[in-house]
Amino acid sequence: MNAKLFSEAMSEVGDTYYEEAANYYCKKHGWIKWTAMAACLAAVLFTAFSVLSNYSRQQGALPPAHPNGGIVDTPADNPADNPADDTASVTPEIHIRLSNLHFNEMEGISDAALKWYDPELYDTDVVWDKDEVTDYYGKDLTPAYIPDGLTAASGNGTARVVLDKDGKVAEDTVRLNFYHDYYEDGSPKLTEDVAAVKGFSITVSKIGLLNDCLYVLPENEVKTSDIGGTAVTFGYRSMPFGPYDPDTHEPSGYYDIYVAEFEYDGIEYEIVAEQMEAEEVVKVVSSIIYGKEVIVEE
Amino acid sequence: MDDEKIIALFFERSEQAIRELDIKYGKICHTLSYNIVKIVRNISLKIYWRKEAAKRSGHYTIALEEIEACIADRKTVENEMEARELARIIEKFLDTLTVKERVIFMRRYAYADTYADIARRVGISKKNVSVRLTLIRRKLKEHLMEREVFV
Repeated sequence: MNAKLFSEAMSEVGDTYYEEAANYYCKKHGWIKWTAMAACLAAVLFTAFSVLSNYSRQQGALPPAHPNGGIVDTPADNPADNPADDTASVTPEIHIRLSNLHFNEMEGISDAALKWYDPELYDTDVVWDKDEVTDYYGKDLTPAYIPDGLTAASGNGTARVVLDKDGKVAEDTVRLNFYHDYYEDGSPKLTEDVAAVKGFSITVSKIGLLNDCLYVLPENEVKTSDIGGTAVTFGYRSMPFGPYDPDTHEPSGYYDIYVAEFEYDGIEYEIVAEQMEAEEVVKVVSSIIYGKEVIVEE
Repeated sequence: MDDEKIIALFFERSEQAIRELDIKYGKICHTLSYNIVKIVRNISLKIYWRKEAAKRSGHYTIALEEIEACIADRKTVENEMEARELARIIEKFLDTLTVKERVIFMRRYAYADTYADIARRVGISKKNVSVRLTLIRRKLKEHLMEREVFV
């Protein structure tokens, strides 16, 4: 064998390997730094409040409310975890304070991680029905909370996945749509007053092939919010919509786009919400994490 | 969404038009672009080998010289082994690597990146790239021997 044969062989290597190498950029350092700092802070706060609450009890005073993070009042984060506790017979309400969450300003949504699979090497037309999707992810992916006026798309629960020739899952992305209305082909309908869709989509993957959000801030300044112990990255953008004024080039107006990214139960989630209130977005995200509807306070 | 609606959005200069276009036609355009990239790469390599017949130089030559230690001076089972067959063996090898190792390998021997370029991309030092590549080449050699590519 010689270098030329090796080089020719490298030309024949599947496109997915090329794409992976082309799209890969290290972005862990910032996160590691912030995660480490967050962990240190959490440890310090935990210690401080353990000591303080003991001290308060000894002094006969009430313990302070949750000092940090999004959770305001969680008597038992998940009562199902404490079956022995007879006092938890009534499911406690979970409250989340909006002001404790951080929304990163977002430039837009990129699809840099979009992959193409060589049909000679992969089966790209594999369709999973609802049962197969549920079996693979170990749960029904529909969130416990769906805002009023939004309905599930007809194709929700099924997915087109990619398998390699050995039957191994190469792409497992599943997308669920919840919008106010749909066209005949099933795609979300634009609203009449604002040329944009209204509702949200949930994209999930266990392999981790989700698209990346582009944030205006450098990545190591992107802040996460704690919801039930899960680090959620929220993004926000005020999105212009047309038609634009032919003279001033001013848009007709702006609408809100929120994005939430997090990993829960070994599954990566990306939620993109358009023309929705922040409160509603947080409720959707929290209902996935807690498995039930929560109360979001201003 | 209908094409007509997408076109109408473009006439409104709405950013939504780009997203709708991407949803409907993104995958097709991606397939097309990757095929074009592959054709361009193969043509470029043919030109490269033609030039190399007269003169040896460039980043890619240096990268190939590294890998040659792994594969040179050894007879293959079939001297005229098909590149495509070897590619499948290399793919199996790539599947055994971590994502980072795979990217380092591909960036070096497919894209002919310098150590400095790779170091910047994957967030490690140049020295670390060099050490990792040495280990990956060693693994490749073992992989090729296990599959009896060499006799």
